[in-house]
Amino acid sequence: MKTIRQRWRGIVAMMAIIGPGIITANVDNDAGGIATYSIAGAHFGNQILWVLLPVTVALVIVQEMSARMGAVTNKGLASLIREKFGLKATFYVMLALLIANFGNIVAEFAGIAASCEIFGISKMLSVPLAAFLVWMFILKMDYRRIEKIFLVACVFYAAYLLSGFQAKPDWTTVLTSSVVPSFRRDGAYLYMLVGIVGTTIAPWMQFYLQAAIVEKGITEREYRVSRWDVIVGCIGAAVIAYFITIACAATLFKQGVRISDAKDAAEALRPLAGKFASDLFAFGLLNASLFAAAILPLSTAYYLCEAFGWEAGVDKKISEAPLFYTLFFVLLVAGAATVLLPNFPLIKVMVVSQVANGILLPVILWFMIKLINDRRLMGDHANSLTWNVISWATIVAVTAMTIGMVVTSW
Amino acid sequence: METFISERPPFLFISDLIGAKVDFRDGKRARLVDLTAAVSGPYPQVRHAILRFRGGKENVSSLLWSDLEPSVRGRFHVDRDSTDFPSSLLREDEIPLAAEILDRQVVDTAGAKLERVNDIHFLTHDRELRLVHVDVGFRGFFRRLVLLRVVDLLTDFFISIRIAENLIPWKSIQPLAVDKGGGLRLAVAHQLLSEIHPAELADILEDVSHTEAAAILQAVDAEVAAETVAMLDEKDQSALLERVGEEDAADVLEELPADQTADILADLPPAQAHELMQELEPGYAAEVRALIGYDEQSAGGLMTSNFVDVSMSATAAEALALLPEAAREKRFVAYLYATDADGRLAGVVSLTSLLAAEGATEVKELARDHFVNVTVETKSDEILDDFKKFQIQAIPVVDDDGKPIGIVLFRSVLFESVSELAQ
Repeated sequence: MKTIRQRWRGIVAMMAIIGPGIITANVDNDAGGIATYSIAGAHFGNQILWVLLPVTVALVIVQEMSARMGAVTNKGLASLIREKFGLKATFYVMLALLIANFGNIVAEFAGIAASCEIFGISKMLSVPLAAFLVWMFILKMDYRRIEKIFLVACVFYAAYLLSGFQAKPDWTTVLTSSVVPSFRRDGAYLYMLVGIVGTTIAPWMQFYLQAAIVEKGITEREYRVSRWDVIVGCIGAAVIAYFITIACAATLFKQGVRISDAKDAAEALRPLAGKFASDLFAFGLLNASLFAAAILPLSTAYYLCEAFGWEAGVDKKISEAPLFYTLFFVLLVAGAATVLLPNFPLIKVMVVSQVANGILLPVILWFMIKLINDRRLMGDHANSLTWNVISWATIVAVTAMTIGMVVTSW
Repeated sequence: METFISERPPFLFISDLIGAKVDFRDGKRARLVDLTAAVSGPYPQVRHAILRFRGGKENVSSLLWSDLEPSVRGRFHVDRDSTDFPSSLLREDEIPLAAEILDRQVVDTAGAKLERVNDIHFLTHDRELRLVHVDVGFRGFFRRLVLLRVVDLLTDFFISIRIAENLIPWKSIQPLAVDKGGGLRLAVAHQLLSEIHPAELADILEDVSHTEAAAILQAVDAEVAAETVAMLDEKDQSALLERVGEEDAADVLEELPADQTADILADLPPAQAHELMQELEPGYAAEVRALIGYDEQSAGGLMTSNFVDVSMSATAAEALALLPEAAREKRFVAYLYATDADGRLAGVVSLTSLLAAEGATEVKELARDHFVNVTVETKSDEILDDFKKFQIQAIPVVDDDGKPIGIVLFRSVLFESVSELAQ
């Protein structure tokens, strides 16, 4: 029989493994994600719910590959791409990732600005303050503590669950439409479907998850636990997305309210579902945006340095890793400043970023499947035939949809 | 008629060569995919060219670098038929440079850090190509992107400065190519790798894969390996010792003082610790087992049994005679711990007083009989206070009978207190 001490050790050991999967999946529900799910719910009602199930399955498949590569090779995705595909390919991939992620960072700060404005705080105060907090937070704290804070931030996503229940949806229709696909042939509906895929499966996640797995030192042996971390994270994130959509479907869609972003959704919820639901929605947006704003500039700087062999890491001094800190600083400050500039073409930046994401995703997925089938790299953990069929099917579907999105974006 | 360039340029980069077209006498064409070299030695000679024929697979052929004649515009000409070069296998010590060195991380043993290779620099001499440097700088970076000329033009024009070369001599480079047996293909004299300070080596190990780290660990001296392992965090220790294999891991751990091994084993998953314990030499394992039960924050967890004890009735000469052997065993010799007839700790003698004394003087006369001592349960903060108060390098630990069982070194507590401060 196991002693209490052994049992405790088991729990501690497991806690040392979980985190990366859950955090990555939750950051996925960032400002852009919340906006997409809100619009989906508001414009198409419960009809769109069914798509979340296949998208979640695809997300799990893709994320599982990243996590597996991290655990087996102990190297980041940027590193593996560089070593297998050479500097030139890596350079252009990293350039696209930089553009795509910069757009995402701007979107997060826009999310912070919007949610704070709902609570009556000017963006001239909230955005610089948020950027400053992120800077201090990342530079003054060690990784373990940061991860714990992130895990707590994940709990705050429950705001959306409450918000969803507050909206009092008709649960029977909700449940039926969750599993019964409904197709509509109009362009707007298809565009929305593609938008959901594009926002849920993003290139940066694969880099982030793999880096976090490596950073945590997860080994082949521990990978079984890590896989659950990924699966639970993806399902948890999907549940949040589901409730955002339900909340908007039960209220805004019913009343025929049109919205264009997450802030509209929070404001429109007020007369329909009450101040509490609206505040919860706005708080959820603030939490998600801040969370992603803390992760994206740092992680982007990190992959770039990893790919190009520059010193990186917050445990290094500025003089030891100048390029790393420069990238981090520029991404953070420029991302925040962009939101504050009057007349800045915010929408255009978003579109360019979305296109960069869209072009990048198929390339990244293709690299990933090549890497994960490399037996010299992965040994017995390379994809099996069945897994390869599933992965390829996912990749082809996701690629077709993102190409569709990029084309329609123009 | 094509004019052939008869002279080879003195320096070449691998980025200038990879992808070059190769024409054979029989009209067959191929592209240069890779070059191989036996990487040991200071300036390894490039041996074979790996080619890809049109529509064919990559092929390691018996074609030697010296068979390639430079022709116009970076092309090569071979004055024999393509069929004259049957495909062959790579020799054991030969590695493909583009595949195993380019774009990968290597250890710069002189700078004691990891670098990612942007380009490989060769010297041509007679008909030989010799590997002289790896390029880890921005020139190599832009050269690979075929943007170097543009960048040079721009920097010349705008800031009148050129980006400087950043080349590292091959003789101080250790690649991380791991062979089938999991060992490192040693390029540098393994002494160079062992000369890296364990703290810096630990930083390097944390940044490479577990397989590469295990290979590095097996390549360095057991003593260096041990000190390096002791500096890793617990997560990496566990992963690495697992990868190295129990037998080798035990050999490494045996190089450490028992208290450090006890600390490491205490942090490992119980099953792994148990397996390792089985592999340790019985005497050493017993010592470790005795220490492992103690709380890490107490004297029991901090102490080491590497002290020297001497009888109170011994003479100074007898006491001094113990020291050379003790020093070889890496025991702590700044103080000797004097015991009475019952084996109880009765005094502490400093090495200084021992050296200053006449040989016939009895230890009894030299020993200080007022000394601080602690028990295994004493907490680290109390021990730290004792160190502050008495300004000594080590404090003896006694059991219930007052017999000395170990000493706590100042540095053990220092590390504890610093890591506490850091948190």
